[in-house]
Amino acid sequence: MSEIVRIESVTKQWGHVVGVDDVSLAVKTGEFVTLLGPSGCGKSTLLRMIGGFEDPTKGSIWLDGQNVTHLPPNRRDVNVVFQDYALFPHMSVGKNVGYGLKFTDEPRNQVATKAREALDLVGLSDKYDAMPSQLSGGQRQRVALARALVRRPKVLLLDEPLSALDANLREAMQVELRHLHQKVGLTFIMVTHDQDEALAMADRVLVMRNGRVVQDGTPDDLYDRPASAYVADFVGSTNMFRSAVVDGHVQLHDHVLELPERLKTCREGQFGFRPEKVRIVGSGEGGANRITGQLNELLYHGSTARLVIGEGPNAIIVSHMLQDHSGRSALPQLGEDVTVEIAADTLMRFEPEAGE
Amino acid sequence: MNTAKQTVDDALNRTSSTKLLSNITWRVVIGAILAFLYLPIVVLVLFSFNSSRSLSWPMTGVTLDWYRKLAANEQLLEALWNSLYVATCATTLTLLIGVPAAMALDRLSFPGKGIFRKLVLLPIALPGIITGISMLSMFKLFGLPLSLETVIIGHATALLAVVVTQVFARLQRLPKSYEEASLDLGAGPLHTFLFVTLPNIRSAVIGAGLLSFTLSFDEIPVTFFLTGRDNTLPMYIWSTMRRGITPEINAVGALIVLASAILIVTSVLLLRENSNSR
Ligand SMILES: Nc1ncnc2c1ncn2[C@@H]1O[C@H](COP(=O)(O)OP(=O)(O)OP(=O)(O)O)[C@@H](O)[C@H]1O
Ligand SMILES: [Mg+2]
Repeated sequence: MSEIVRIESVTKQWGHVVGVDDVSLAVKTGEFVTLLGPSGCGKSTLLRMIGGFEDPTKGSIWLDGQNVTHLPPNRRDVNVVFQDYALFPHMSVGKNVGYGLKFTDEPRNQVATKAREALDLVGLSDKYDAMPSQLSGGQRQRVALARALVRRPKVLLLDEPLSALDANLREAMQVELRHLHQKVGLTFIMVTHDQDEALAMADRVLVMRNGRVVQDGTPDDLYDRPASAYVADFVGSTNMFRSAVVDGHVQLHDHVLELPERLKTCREGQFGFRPEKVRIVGSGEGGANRITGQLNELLYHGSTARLVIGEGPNAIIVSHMLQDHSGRSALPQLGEDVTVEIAADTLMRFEPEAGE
Repeated sequence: MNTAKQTVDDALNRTSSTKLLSNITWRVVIGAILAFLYLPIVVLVLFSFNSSRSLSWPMTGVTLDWYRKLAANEQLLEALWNSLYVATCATTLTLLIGVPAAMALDRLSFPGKGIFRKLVLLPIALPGIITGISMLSMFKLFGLPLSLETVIIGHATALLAVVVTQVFARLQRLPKSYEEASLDLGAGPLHTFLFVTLPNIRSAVIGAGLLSFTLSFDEIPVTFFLTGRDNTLPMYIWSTMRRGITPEINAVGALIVLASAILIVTSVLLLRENSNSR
């Protein structure tokens, strides 16, 4: 696959405010990349620089081999789906979708046909003559998609495209967007602050923090091999602890845990494990890496339950999958002692971060 | 049992009669307000058809004489023509300057923007007489002869604030993403302005334009200082009034009322079309 977007050490500053700090990135044709991070980390700013709405302070942006760093938006072969959709309120849905074709070599009589085709693609062919104000949130979202796709841009940029939708619709649209990506075969770059959305939709996720990219990897990389405690905490949740390493073992409060082979030789540092990877075992069963503690809190979610074992800073959180039809009754009671196994290969180690 | 029911009925009757009373009161109040606003205009229009010269009730008969006379009054026609010319040019000029100024205020951020904004809006608070005198001194300074064109410049200056305030307020409510989306979809800045910005601020521009036109059309103080030998309609009316109100003046007034009504209806129609058109 060839490279379609290349970003070289791009920085964006407004006076002393740093929006994006020395970010480099290459996106391959047809990839679905998401920019993930908390509010204010610079995701939108990075996306807006690719779209041409912000001028980078430093660095350069390349689109399909062309340097577009200082080109205005109307001269770049990318299109944006805006967070508020930005449908023109004074034009019908069809005119909105056809708008982008007015400024191409597209013959006049083809504009309406192409607009209809694009609306067909998002399942809204019957709304051609409707006004945007007559549509539901999900429908507007689709029109915005159709309007951006009708120009067949080299890259489609989406700024939190689903954040204005309610939870059910959001999930349905995630699936739909994914299908659409496969169907049209274009490159998508999407901004989100929702980790589930990023993991579910993207081929590749860039986690951002304070204007920098702190990890660039596939969803499983992020989840199974987070590069830092920050990523581990932001993508999913993690039980964290600090410990020295003695003979290939670490100490979690007053329990000793064996490290996997790959970590046996490392120095002291920060360790963690995922609540989902902890297994509840029958009490009294012996074995390595087992911890027994009192069950202090239990949150029942239907298919899973969240257990808090131990107290205060020593508490560990366990997420337990409820199988079969055992339901609630199979769960331990509050106050009971529970034994869990934290398998060695689920342990992760994080380098201390700068400034910590 | 019976008495209880009666009490309830009484209470109901009382509430409905007080309701009726307050209904009538409201109608009277509304009628009074409307009369206060429109009675003078009705009187004006009625007397423009009165066959006698005197302004006393009852009217002596109906005639179109005054309108015929008016059509033959060269001076008045010229004044009317001058007024239309001034109002049209002043409105056009003020829109041509005011709309871009409002857009600059809305999107550019430059040092001293707040002060610039207040400076643009200040003339709205200045009495016309001050605008008139100061512009007169300026034109004298530059050696510009007074004419209808100097009146146009004076009016445009005074009206700029009206246009800038209205259009700026509308632009502030217009999401920036509309223009960004238009640029993103390949439109240049000019097309974006014509196809996206302008249609969305159209009602504000039309409203400000109509208001400017009306204000310019019956403006006296600035005109008084800045005109040369030419008279505008309000100046002409004002000067003939020294000889008393003539039915001819009433006829002119009635025509102006008619023209204003047409303007207002047009603007309402345009605005309605704006809100549900494509
Ligand atoms: N025009 C601007 N002028 C000054 N600072 C700005 C401007 N735009 C963004 N910033 C700052 O840059 C930083 C990054 O903003 P950005 O909008 O990219 O965040 P984000 O990651 O998209 O956040 P969110 O999830 O809230 O949308 C923020 O601290 C913001 O205050
Ligand atoms: Mg954002």
